[in-house]
Amino acid sequence: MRLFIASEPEVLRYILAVIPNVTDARDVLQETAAALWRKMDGYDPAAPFTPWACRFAANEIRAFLRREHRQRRWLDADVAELLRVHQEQALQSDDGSAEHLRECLESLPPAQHELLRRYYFEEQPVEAIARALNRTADAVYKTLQRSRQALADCLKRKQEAAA
Amino acid sequence: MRELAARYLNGAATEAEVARLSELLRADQGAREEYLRLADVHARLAADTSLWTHERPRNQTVPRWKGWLLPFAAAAAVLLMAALFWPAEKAAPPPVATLLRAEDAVWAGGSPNEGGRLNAGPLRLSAGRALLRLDGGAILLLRGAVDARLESGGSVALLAGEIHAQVPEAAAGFTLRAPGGDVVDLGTEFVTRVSHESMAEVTVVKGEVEVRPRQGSAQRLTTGKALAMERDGSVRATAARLPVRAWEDWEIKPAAQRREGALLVHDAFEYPPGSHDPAALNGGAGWGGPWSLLTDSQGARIYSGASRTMETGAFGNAGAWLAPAGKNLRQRRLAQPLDLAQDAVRYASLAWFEESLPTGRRKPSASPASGLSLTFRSLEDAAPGCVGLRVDHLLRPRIETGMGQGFVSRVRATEGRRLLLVAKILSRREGEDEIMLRVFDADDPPGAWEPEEWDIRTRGLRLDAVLDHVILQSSGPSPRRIEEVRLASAWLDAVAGWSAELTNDE
Repeated sequence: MRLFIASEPEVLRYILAVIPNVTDARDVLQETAAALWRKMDGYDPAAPFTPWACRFAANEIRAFLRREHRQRRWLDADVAELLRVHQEQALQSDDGSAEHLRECLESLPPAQHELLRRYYFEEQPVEAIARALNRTADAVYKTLQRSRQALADCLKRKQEAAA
Repeated sequence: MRELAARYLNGAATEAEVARLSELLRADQGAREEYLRLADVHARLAADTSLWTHERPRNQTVPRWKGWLLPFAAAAAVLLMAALFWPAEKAAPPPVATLLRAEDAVWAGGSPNEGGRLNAGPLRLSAGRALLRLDGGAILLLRGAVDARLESGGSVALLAGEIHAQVPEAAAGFTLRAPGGDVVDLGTEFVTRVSHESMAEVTVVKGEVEVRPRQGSAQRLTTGKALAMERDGSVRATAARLPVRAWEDWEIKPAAQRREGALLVHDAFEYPPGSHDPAALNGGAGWGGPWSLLTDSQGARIYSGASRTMETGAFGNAGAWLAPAGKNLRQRRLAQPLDLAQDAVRYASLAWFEESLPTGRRKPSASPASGLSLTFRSLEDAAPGCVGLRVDHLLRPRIETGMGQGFVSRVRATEGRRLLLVAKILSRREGEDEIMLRVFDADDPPGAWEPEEWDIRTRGLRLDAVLDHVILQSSGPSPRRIEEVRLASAWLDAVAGWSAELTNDE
């Protein structure tokens, strides 16, 4: 139980990479938790918990994508499988990227930081952010895109510098 | 590819764009790596709340109490809408509960204020205990580790751990959702536990619940009975798991539960009986100086009443300021101002004895300004404002904020007895501030946690004042015995030790 609480953000992150909508990703997380309890006996306490939990998350992601297939809002299930290989490699290594991301976030211009905070932390709808910051919804989407790209590039630089 | 990935992550991609993105990712490993670099940034920003709860150096403050709560779009209707339309508009998570107490609580991701409001969304307690009241009225005791999700004022999802629910009749219908099924309350007290042993184990302490397993039919469960919903979907009777004494602890021995440092400011007027220059009265704690007559922001004297001294006396074990009939105003500077621009919860209390007046002496026509008030006020011009907590000439509780905003209760306090006025001041960096007030007496003493109902509460209040002084005012046709003033960060520390009776003869 404690193990799950500790690794929940990591598992959610794993799900969000394929199912970017936070509400849907949390539903999948809840299904994952239920599945975990059913199989808790199979957990080897000597092994790291998060990768083990993510295997369940992968099953639930697959189930979700199949269920929602007709809506065509999501990546195809076979693509999610391909992505999973990369994701699992990333889980094996703690590369200090959490700290790097924090630093990258700090280095963003305040306006971008503020917009990301509203979107990701306060979970304000894009329309509300647009109203509050006196911009169009389109401009908000663009800023989200640019900020994420800047963060991804910044992370890459830091990882290369560390390596 | 980047453009497509960005639109997908924003939830703004069309069907054709999603299909195209799938195709690209299927075909090319490089594209998958590139996609995941972007998607992982998105995922971390959304999942790792600690990124947002550590304040930035350049004074870009983040609401600290929100840090532990990753807000969650809750209402079922909204989820349905989200399923039907795309892109989905996320509803801002509404507050659905109040944190009443927390003991040794370690929250996964931050720490909410006692007395603070809890938004719909994840609630994860790693260790310790927390007591909260849903807006629907159910009181929940969480013992760490608990992984739960507040869904609404009447519903909670339990992913792991144990929740002990006490549900008053008015809140019947409260639903606890567990992986194995739902537990619907019919006016009762029950414990539900989710662990790797079972998908939900329910024990009814008192009353009746309806258990609705994911598979199979609903069952009623009565006092002392327990039921386990198993991993394979079966349901069986099980030994009752009676609640640990945690609950009683808090109810029976509240005085012992006061916290170090939670009482921020107080004065119990424990001075030698006699007539004093206010400047000689410098007792209590949390003050920036002694009592004084009123001054304005330039330091000029304001009329503070006929008397320039303060009479003190002792009654039983308690000291008091004896404010004579007529107008009496005294002020005192706070060591730490009350900053209403911050996210914080404060409880203020004022204890006194209200004399009985002969019939007809409480005239509705008298000035409503007479009565007794505890006012927090700013003498700084930079962030002016005031919060007045009081009973008026008819003993009606009132809240006044000095901006022409006044709130008056319909109920009246009773005269001829000791009274305790308690106010809760819920200030927010962003959004509405709230103040609630209630007057307690012997028939209605304060409980171990804050009441569900207040005599009066504010609406639409937005204050950003920094209040650095306290003003006590007693006016009207009768003298008053003012026994104690307090400001605390927890309910209990504002009310503990107050007794409706004197411990000695009157």
